[in-house]
Amino acid sequence: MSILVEISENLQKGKAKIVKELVQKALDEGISPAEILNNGLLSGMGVIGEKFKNNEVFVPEVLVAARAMNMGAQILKPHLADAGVVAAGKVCIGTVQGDLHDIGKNLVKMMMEGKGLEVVDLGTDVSAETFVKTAIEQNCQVICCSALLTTTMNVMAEVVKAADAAGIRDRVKIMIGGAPINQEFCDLIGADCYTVDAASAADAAVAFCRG
Amino acid sequence: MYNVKDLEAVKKNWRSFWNHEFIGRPYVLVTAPKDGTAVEKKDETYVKKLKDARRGDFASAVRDFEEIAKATMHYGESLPHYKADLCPDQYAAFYGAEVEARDGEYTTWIKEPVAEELCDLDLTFHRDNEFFQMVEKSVRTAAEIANGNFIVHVPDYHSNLDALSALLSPQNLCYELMDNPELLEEKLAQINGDFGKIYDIFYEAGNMKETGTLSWLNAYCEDRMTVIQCDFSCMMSPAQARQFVIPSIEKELESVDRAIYHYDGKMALGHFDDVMAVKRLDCIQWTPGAGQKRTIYWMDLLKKVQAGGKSVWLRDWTAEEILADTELDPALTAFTLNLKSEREAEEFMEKLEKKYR
Repeated sequence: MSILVEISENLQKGKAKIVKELVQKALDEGISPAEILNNGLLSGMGVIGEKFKNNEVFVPEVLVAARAMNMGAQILKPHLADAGVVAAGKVCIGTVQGDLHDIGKNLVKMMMEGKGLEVVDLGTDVSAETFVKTAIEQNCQVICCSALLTTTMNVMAEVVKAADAAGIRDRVKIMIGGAPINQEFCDLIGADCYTVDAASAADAAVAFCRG
Repeated sequence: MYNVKDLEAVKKNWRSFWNHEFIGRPYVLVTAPKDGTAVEKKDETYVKKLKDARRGDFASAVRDFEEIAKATMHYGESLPHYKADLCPDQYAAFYGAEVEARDGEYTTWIKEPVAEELCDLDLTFHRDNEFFQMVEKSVRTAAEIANGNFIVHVPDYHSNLDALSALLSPQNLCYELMDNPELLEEKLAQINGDFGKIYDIFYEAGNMKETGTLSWLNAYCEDRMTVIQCDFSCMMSPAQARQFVIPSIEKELESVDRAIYHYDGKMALGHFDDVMAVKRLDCIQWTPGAGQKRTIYWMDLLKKVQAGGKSVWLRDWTAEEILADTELDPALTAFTLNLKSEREAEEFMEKLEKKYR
């Protein structure tokens, strides 16, 4: 079994320590950082993402896989920078103002990182202004808003309005998600995209970043 | 009891409900404003209640409720009831989670996880826990003021894995589930083992031996009853639910005679057969979740619950929908419904009884 397949498989099992060691070993063997990233770490997360979409794995499995990916990515990061490997795009993400739930947001963040995106995590209870300000200042191509409560989902409409007012809608896409959200609500508030699960959100964000 | 025509008849119907007997119509809990009464809108948020409680004021919220209760008529199996809870995540607060009440919001929040790792969580239940004492005082004060005119709820706990999720954060609990399943089983057994002890204290404080028990769903029982749930289960695989959720529920239900399961979210449906296999669950309150279609659109699931010998508890049907023909077994169906006037409520009850006569 090639070391890249080993990285991918151990990542899928959430074996963070082993993934970290294997990434270092792969680097020592002279495998390029981009190859380790794409064919080891991101490939493993891709499999997990698909399995999650198909209800073959569940949130805990995704989280431990993402944790393993992050451990591997930490080893890889300086080497990627040296090799001039750039992220597939940049996204800012947060749970909207008034809402402190974060597991859904974290899951999407991890899936996006698993697709090679750079993610600015704004945390929870994030105002519309902060989303837009961050997108402008950090040059994000996508704003991702999460909400679990029906009482807070309307803040997403404020994000859309704030982005309109700032004149960034032509270059920044607004994605929304969370338990109470659906396509109808997305259309109603004029957001750009709603996805049913974290893996689909990551796919959509990558597509937006590629233009 | 405020605005209940025949309490003994209502109690008799509730006995039938728990025995899954047909009373000539489905079970309905209907309320309507009393003619000629207008109550100023009250702040019934957890934020207000918790802030009052922290100032040592446990009576204001009950007095506010009492005004509403005096102006509310009850029909069918409905009874006036007061919710003495101070936050959604009470069970976690009993084990040390700090609850934050922010102005302008309805609900309260756990300020931050008590620990990052399960091994650092001390899950010894102390009766002198400050939050526990506040809830106990809230229940006791409400029961004293109620004086037989309304019933105080059995507290809504959010126990088992939901409590651990609040204490650790859902994400950290997911990690523990994968990394330390044996420790998780051990810790769960510890807090599940306290459930009966905690239930007993509130049962006494709320004078429930005298009044009977009433849940936040408004279901009533002369014996010991509770509504139980595990919202965290929506993140788990069926195998994980079998290992952690079902034994938790079974353990907790050892302390009560009757129980309803608050089944929340489409993502938790993977555990349906396992939940249905819990013998001590008498009724399922299916909640499709925000953004999903109302329960009337889940008829196959509701029929499956009834075919499995359990009642269904429905809170989102209109009067017209309840009166229309459904394929549900009326002996195994309970609806809650708020109507706009006494006349509307009386007409509804008349039509319902006529339909099944």
